[in-house]
Amino acid sequence: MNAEKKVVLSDDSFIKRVVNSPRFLLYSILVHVTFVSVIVMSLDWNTKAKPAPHVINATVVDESKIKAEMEKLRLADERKKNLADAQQKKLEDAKKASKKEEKRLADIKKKREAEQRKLKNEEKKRKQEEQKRKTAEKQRKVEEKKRRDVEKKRLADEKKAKVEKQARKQAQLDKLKAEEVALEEKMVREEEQRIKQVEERKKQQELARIRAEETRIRQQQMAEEQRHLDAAREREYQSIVDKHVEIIRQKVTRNWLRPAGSMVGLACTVRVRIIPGGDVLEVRITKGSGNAVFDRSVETAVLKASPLPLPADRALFDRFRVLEFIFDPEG
Amino acid sequence: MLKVILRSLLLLMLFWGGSAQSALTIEITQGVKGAMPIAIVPFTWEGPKPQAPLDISAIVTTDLYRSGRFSPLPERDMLARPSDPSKVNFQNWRVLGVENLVVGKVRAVANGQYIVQFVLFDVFRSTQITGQTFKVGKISDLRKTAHQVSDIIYESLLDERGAFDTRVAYVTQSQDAAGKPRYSLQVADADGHGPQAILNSREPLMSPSWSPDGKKLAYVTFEGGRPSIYTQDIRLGKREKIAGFRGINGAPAWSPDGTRMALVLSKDGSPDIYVMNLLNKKLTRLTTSYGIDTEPVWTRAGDAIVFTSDRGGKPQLYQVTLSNRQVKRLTFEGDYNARATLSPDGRMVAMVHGNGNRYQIAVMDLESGAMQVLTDTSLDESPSFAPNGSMIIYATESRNKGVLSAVSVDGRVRQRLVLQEGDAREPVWAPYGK
Repeated sequence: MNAEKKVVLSDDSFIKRVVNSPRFLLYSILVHVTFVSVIVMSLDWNTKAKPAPHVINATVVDESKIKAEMEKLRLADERKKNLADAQQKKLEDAKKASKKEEKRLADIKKKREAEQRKLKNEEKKRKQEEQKRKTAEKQRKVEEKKRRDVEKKRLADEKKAKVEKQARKQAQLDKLKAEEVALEEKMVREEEQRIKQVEERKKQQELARIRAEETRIRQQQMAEEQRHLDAAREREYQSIVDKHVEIIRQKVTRNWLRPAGSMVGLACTVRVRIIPGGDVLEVRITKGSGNAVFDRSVETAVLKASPLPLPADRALFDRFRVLEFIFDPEG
Repeated sequence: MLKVILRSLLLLMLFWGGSAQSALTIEITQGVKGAMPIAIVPFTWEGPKPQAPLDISAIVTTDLYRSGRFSPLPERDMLARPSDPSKVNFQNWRVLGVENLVVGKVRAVANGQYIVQFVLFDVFRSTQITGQTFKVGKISDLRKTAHQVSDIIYESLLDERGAFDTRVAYVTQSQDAAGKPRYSLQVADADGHGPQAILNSREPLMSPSWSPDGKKLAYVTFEGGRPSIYTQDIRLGKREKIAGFRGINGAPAWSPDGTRMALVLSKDGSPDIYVMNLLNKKLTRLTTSYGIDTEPVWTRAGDAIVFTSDRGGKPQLYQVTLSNRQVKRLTFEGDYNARATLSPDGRMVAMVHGNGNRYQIAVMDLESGAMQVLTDTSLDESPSFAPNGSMIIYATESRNKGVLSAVSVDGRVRQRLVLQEGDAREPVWAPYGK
């Protein structure tokens, strides 16, 4: 842009020449169109930044822009015409000077052309440069892209590596963690196992305790029941025993021949051993009456009553194994 | 050694176990009052004759039965008739409830002598209680031997002396061919067998009384038309008139020591009780009532005399103490209580107890005054205790004839003595003698 301004700033003299000469005007127009094209293109570049083919064609230029520029230029031409009219004399005046000037201008033109060529060369060079630059840029961009790709790749690789590393690490970590977890789990399991075992043991112990308790209670109940049964049986036994004591008493009484005569106040106690079945094994006087006949009658009574009627239940025999008879007659 | 100790320990334990055992105690307060079952198996006879001259076992059976203390098993009920003690099967007798068993034999030996053997068994204990062998010199003594066997059995089983081998004296009245009354004082075995008249008289004989030694009899005789009191030695026949006072001379009674005689005399008015010293014939008058005092008997101690008196209106028994002549009435029950006789132990008095028209033998416990009638006949008289007190012999009437009977002191067994000729009255049981 700076370059354009320079160009524009330096245009004053240049314009004067253009205006003074139709060739120059054409040149000028051409130059302007070119500039405008360049500007447009440059604008386009700036906005689009896309490599466009280096084509300079007026028709292609935007019509509105051109119109505006044409207008501008027309206006400028009008002004210039006005100016030229004003200046015609001046120019005529200056024609002489201009011949000199012309010469100088020719010089300048030559110089200008040289400069133009130089400029063209420069432009070419610039374009080449530009091309080169573009190529370079392109290259650079490719490079860049490549680099970026590489970088990207590298980054990707790196990332990948990192990821892999991470993954490995993670895996390792995971593994470790897993191991740890496994260990922990194992420990937990073991702990659980241990707890479980302890609990199981406790449970077993508890169970055993409960079972023991149950057994104890059951036994207690059984014992209680047994006691009840025993008591009931004992009562039954007792009634049977009582009954048989009475039967025995009656049998012995029936068999006791009380001696006649003065036997008042006599009493005799005998201990009788019997065998199962009731047979009297032995009659022993443990407390005699002092009267042989009385004592003998007692002994005989028991012997005569043999077998003593015992309960059918042999379990009761023990109670009858040894009997004591007290013979103590009333009156 | 250890074995011995162990065994001893075991025995000790058994012993303790046995003695520590609390035995059921059964009290027996009642029993059967009754005779003791006994079986007297007929004695076997070993001799030239087909039958023994005397059935000793039958005499023993009767003796024991008559005492009221035994109930001999009828011969027909016996399951076996062993004579050899080794052949006895006690079970045969147990099933019959026989408590005692007598087996024996009579064997004829040379010179008309006999051997009598017997064994008494305790059936339920399967033991021999006693046994004895007698050598009998002559056939007439076999009866005595039988009574002796009875006595041994009796004493063995009842622990008191038997009274089978004793005698009784009584008076019989009969008529001779001419139809005149004939009185005899008889002495016979206690069962009435073998009577021997120690005095025959045309006049009434009354009130025989044995001397304590059993050698003499005192009695009242009406010889010469008047009552007088004599004593007579049985064996020697020697008589002595001890009282022939005016009026009544009656009811002689020898004192227990044999030195005095109680008698009834009416020489001083109404019949009263006197005591005569037999050595000097000195009389002591014990009673002086207006009524009749008669039939004196001595107490066992000889310090008092029980007699019959109607001083209360009707005949009752009284007792007078010799030392102070204090008289107390003994009987209150019934209209008529007479003819006292005291038991050998002095505890009981037997009498003729009249109630209305019935005159029966009764005994009264002197301590309690309890009276028990023993007989069921109605004209009983003259009771007399056996020397062991187990029986009372008395006279009663059967078909208008005076007969003798014996009753056990508990009244359970009454048995007529063997028939004798004529009427028998006033029996008195002889003491054991000395």
